Amino acid sequence: MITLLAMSPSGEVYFTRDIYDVIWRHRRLGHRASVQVSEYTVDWSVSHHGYDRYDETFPNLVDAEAFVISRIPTTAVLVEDLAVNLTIAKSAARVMKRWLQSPTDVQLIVPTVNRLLRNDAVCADADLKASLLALSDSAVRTSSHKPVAPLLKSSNPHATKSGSRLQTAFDMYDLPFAA
Amino acid sequence: MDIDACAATNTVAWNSKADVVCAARPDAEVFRTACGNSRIGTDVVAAKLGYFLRTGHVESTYAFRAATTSEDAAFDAIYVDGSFGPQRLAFEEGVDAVRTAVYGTLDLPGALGDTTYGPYRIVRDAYEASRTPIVLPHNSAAVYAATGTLEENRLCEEAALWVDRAALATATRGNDAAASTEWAELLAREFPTNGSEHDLIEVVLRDGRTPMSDVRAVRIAESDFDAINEEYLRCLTKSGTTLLTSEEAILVQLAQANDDGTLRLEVVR
Repeated sequence: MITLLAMSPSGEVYFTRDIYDVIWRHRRLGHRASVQVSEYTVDWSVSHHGYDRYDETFPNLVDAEAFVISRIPTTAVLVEDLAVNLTIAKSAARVMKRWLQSPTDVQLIVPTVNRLLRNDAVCADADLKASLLALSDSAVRTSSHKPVAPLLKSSNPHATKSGSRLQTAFDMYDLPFAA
Repeated sequence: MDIDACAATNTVAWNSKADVVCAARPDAEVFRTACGNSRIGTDVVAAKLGYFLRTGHVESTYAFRAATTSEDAAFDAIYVDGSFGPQRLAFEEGVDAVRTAVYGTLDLPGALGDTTYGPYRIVRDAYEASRTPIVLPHNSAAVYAATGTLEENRLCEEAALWVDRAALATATRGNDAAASTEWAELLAREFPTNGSEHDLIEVVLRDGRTPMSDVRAVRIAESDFDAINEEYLRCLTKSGTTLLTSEEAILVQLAQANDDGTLRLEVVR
């Protein structure tokens, strides 16, 4: 049995207690190695960082993490309206290099590249475009995908500009940052 | 207690201690210079960062919780429940910052902080705060109010002004820094001491709301960025409607702001 003790409000980090009374910190992102911590750390995370306290028991860690994921706030968005930008596309190239190693994920590369290249800024970056097309070619060679189709322009002007209606959906997040 | 007056009287003492360390370890002088240019770094989760973006201000954990639950629930979670609540309350009462204190560490370029507290590190300057930050050589609540009662004398003897942060950092961590190249993480992460499992050089901003215009960058580890983006990319390949998590929505928005030049998003390998 696993007891969920606390989690961050957006679910990146959570703490559990196992049957040996050992407390673990788990991360859902990046480097996911679980780390043994003390109750002190859990209390600190709640008091100092605004984590939510729980006392829910689960048969195993998989179920505990499924519960954590179910508590993450979500917003329904039309896929067509999801924004694409240069920073996202550059990271996508790194992600898709890993996808090449997976028989299932490799199937996602061609549609992802197609989607990214519908963005004007991404398409205008010659180096990035070349690396994305190379990834697409590699995916085609290692799977049954057809070659990249001619690029289609969306009828939705927001989806092809650097912004999108996603920004409208989240325009509550004004960004008054300094340059 | 007048923590500012206390800190002002400690200027000579902190600089003298730093001089001693630098005399013994000349390479600590380079660390001291680096710390003189340090900013404030605060580690946050996506929900908290989203709240800051919504309000246009970096705010206290109390303000964040009160906005998402209620003032009573926020007060109980932060100041009453758990082993740290009474300690935090005692410290913040002592420095006149109950409900408003925002905490951080000294920040050097590239620091990722402690990801236990969130993948994002907000990096900002101190000059917009009406009360300049106080810098402490230890965890404010856990060390100076360990019993639930503030040790005012000790706090008064150890607090430092923001302008003396390099002297404090060198006096307390200069020897460690001389033996390490990981200065940024040395300052950004907690370290255990006899006083606290979560000890650190802590920066305390007492005014609560400080404008996001103070924020110079939001920093995230490349592995975290890619992990969130990977889920976002999977959404791109779907059809119809998809459920976007708050962390994905905020990541895309930060990425767009980075492209627009309105915010520096630092993705650190």
